[in-house]
Amino acid sequence: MNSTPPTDSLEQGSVKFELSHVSKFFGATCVLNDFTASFQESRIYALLGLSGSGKSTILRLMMRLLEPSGGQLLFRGQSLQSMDVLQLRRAIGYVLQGGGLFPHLSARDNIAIVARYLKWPPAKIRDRIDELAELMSIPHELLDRFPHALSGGQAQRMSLMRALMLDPDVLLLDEPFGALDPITRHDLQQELRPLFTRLGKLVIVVTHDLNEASILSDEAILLHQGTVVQRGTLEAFRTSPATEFVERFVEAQQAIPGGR
Amino acid sequence: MFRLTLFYVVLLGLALVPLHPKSASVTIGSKLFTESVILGECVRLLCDDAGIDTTHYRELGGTRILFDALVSGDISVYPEYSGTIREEIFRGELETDELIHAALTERGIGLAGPLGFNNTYAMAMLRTRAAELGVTTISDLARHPDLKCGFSNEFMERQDGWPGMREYYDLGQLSTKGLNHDLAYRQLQLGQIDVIDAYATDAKIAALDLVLLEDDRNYFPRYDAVVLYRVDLADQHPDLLRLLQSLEGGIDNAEMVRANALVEMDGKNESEAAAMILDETLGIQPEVHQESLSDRLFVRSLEHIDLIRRSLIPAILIGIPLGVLATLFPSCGRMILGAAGIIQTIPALAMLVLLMPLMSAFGQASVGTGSATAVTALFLYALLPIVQGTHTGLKSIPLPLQHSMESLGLPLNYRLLHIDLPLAGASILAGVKTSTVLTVGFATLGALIGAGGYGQPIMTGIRLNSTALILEGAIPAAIMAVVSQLCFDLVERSYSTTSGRRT
Ligand SMILES: Nc1ncnc2c1ncn2[C@@H]1O[C@H](COP(=O)(O)OP(=O)(O)OP(=O)(O)O)[C@@H](O)[C@H]1O
Ligand SMILES: [Mg+2]
Repeated sequence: MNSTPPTDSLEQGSVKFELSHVSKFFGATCVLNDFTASFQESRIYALLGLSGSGKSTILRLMMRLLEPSGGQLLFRGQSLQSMDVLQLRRAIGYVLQGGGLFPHLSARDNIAIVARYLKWPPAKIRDRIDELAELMSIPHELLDRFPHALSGGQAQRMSLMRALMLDPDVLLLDEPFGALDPITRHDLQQELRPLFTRLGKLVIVVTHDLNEASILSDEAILLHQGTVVQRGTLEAFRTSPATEFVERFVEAQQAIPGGR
Repeated sequence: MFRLTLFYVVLLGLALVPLHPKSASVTIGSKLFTESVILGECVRLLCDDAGIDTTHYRELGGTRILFDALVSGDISVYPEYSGTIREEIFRGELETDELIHAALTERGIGLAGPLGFNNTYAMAMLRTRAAELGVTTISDLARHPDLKCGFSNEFMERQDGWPGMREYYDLGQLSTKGLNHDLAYRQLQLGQIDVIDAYATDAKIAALDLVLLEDDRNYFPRYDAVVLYRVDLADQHPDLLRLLQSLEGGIDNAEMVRANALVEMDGKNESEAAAMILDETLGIQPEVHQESLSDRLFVRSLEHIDLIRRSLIPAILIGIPLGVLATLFPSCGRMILGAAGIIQTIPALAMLVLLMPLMSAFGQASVGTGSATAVTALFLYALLPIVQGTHTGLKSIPLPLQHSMESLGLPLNYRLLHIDLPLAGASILAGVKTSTVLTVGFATLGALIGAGGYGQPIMTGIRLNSTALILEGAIPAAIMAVVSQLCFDLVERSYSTTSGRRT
């Protein structure tokens, strides 16, 4: 909420990513308006909001897949604009909405593509993939399949493996469980939470599901009409909603039968 | 990157390795009609007999193509007509023979001949009808105002044709109609018309027993057959000049008519007709060896594949990068695609004639088997489908995948090679397939400038009105097109079932 690092942030770790007064226009339509937020290392954030509220746009700005119309983005205290864009992207693991595996490559080749470019020795690549497969509980024979022969959940895990391959300290996950059935989704959420904590990474998960946010994240940011309306724990969202919109957002999800 | 470079070098090597090293020291050209091919064969057989190494590029097209090729040195000898040299090559600007000789010498060209016959326009009548009326000269026609004339449309319109002749010989009272040349012969035979225009050495003159009326007041310009040759070549082969001169004056109109009839009426080939002329005029009996159908097919297939190889492979090597450029830089892409599109609309003959001087300027063979002109034209025609296939393929990669590949932080060239191009592979392959099938067909047009391949029998077949010869070229060309299409279909199928190749 605050563009200057608050004092308590130092207790939790240093600021990794900082967006101040960022705006983004597509033509005349304003998608982000004066968006300000900072993200600290080793913390898990949930980015919440209605469909079309600009959640994916924020991640794309952080990856420099889009350029902001105004404001500033800092990564490790350095302006994004002044950084080498390829290095920035390799420092961040990004899983996009829908996974984004390349259909012409096997899962293994998808996962290894950047490591191959960086000329990792084949043995190191193999070991790293084995390690990640174990982490994600992926059976080895699945690795040699092409994406069209994987289930949605399997593909999603492969995408995560690709994002984790270079062991980046930032993970940006755009609705990673969007296409999964409730049980698989629940299982994956349960598995990933301790994993993220153990890996000690800054993770930003985009979702519009409060439940998912509560399982996965330490802190939530709710986006509405291009700006942050509330930031904090989900408990605070329930007990002291900042605006009427927050109240409705929370209520609507509780009203879904079985949606908790 | 190393693998890509290797791929390029290997393909480029495949494209550029010459199949048949040029060795013949004398190249003969001939025009796209029987008489010219026979005379070309006469020169070839004479040279053979004297042990001079030759190639004969037959049916190279018209005066412009042959004369330019002679001046640029792509051919060294070809048969021509005095009237054509005066009217077409020098556009009637040079009045006297001396001026014409000087102008030719200036271009390094010598003239041997005349060979003896004069293939000008003439008036022809059935021998019986002419005898019955006592007509032997054109002037005699004025005494028979009831005669009916059937003239070719061209002759009716040319200022030096009927309009000029009517005035010159005062033939205003004759009734005339314009009609197709073949039809004119038929109606003459049936007695429906009495007089037609004809070339003086037309094969049908002997076959239909016609007489030519004497041009007693010398209205028609002379079209004496001569041989044009490069002076530098004659310096290298003093024998050659002697051989050409040995033909001078030996071939009269009747001889040439018989030779033409041998080919056009009796189905003999031009070599046999040429052998007959040499036997009857010089007493030389050259060896004429007949190639079997399978020999001919084999040689032409090689020539055809060679044309395709040397044009299509460079088109792939250049077309794909052009397609990539067009996608990366949309404004320059519009230009590239526009230019490739415009090239497609240039008619083949125009393209060949436009390219010839350019090829000569670069020191490449502008005519003849596998000439640079034909290869370049095919290359240009093959570009568009490949550029377009690459462009479309790259453009139609779904946006999420584009974001996905961008987000990996890979440099552009690595990305293109390992992700973009394989993803666009199906579309690129479709473009290459279209180009290949097109080129197999288009390559037959190379025969317009003697490029060889399956087009050559098609050209001869059209000239001699022989369906068998046309099919001899058309069937293998069609088979090659279908086979290449099938091969590509197979590759496409394996491509889509494995979802692509592995890196
Ligand atoms: N390239 C673009 N051109 C124009 N408008 C765009 C473009 N990309 C996104 N938008 C618009 O920006 C808004 C925010 O899009 P964004 O993808 O960030 O939404 P989101 O919050 O991720 O939604 P969802 O939950 O449905 O994924 C949407 O209204 C969308 O239509
Ligand atoms: Mg989104």
